[in-house]
Amino acid sequence: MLMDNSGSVTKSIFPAQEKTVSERDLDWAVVQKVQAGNVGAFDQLVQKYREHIFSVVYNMTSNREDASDLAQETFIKAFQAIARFKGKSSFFTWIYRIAINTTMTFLKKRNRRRFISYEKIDEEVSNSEIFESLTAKNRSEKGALISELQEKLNDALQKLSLKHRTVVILHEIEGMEHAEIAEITKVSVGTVRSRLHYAKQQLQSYLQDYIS
Amino acid sequence: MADTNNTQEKEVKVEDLLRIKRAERPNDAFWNTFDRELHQRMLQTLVKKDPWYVQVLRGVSGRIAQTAAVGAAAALLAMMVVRPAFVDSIQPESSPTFAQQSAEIISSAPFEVAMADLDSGLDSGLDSGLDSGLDSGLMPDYQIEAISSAGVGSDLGYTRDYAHDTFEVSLYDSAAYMADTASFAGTGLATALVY
Repeated sequence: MLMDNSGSVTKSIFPAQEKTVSERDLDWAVVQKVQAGNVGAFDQLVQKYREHIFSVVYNMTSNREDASDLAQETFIKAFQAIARFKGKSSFFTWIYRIAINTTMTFLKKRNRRRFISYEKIDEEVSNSEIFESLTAKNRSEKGALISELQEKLNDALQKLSLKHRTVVILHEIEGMEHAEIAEITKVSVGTVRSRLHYAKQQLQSYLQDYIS
Repeated sequence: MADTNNTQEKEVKVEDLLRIKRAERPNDAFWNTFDRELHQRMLQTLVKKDPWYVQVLRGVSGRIAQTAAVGAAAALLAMMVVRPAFVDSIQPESSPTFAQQSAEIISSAPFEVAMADLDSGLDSGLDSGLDSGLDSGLMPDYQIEAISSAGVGSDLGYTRDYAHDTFEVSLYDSAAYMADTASFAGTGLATALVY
């Protein structure tokens, strides 16, 4: 967390963390509008968080259709429960918690059935240093490497337990801090760190062909 | 060329690989469909009727809660109305007021002591003088005031842990003499002072 000149706290590094303290207040103001009966105001919250929520659910399920359904279900649940939202935590934390709980319930019911369907990787990333380095190292064609790596990454994530997968997705992909993850998952910061460490070790062993 | 070499030499970590996942993003068409479906589902949620068993359960639980609330209110009301009346009806018997206790004590405490009863404690000289006066048919022109604590302790609910003292004062109109008597029941001693 960094403090900018205006005195508001800004999280750095990742796009997902471009939130200031005042954003919590902005969200709370929108929530209050919805609570007062302005149902249309809820759409502002959907537009603001749909990509983050979808991303978390997608990376937990590795299935874009399931992720779409679960993300919608998350917003419906939030809409139904918004009258009971008192603003003790941020709306951001609250809706992430709903998303993760909904997804975990879904995955536990789904058991061992797995249907993988991936999103297309953004072309900008395919030109990044990482891909250049990987292409050079593996001496393979970039398109093939991207598909292969995408599959390996999703497989590796699916091999992790739900709690380890959740922590590593929230930290490494969503760019959240340990304290935020602790609040969302309702565990201590120490537990978050421990799970993250273990999850990375596991991933390192699964993806060692790509790690220099 | 140098840049290319630097890029190729870049160390790849797990974190770098995981960040590639951020680039797995749906296109705009996906979000249009997502928004449309979400609005439809939200509208369905708003107008959707609960299944029959949920409605029955809600009705039953609502009625139970309503009955319980009415019952509780009635019980509270009954307690507020009945209890004060009940307390008033039983209070004089179960716990007499201080005024009542005092009245009982006052009515029972001053006991008159016949002068003859004082004889036992008086010496013979005094004894004969008093007897002669009484026996001669004189009107009793005296009053006896007695201050006694007899029986008070037990009535008030505590144990008396002191000796029973009785102080009697006789006041004579003639003022010829006064007899103050102090008897000590606990010790069996009695003294009399004659002026």
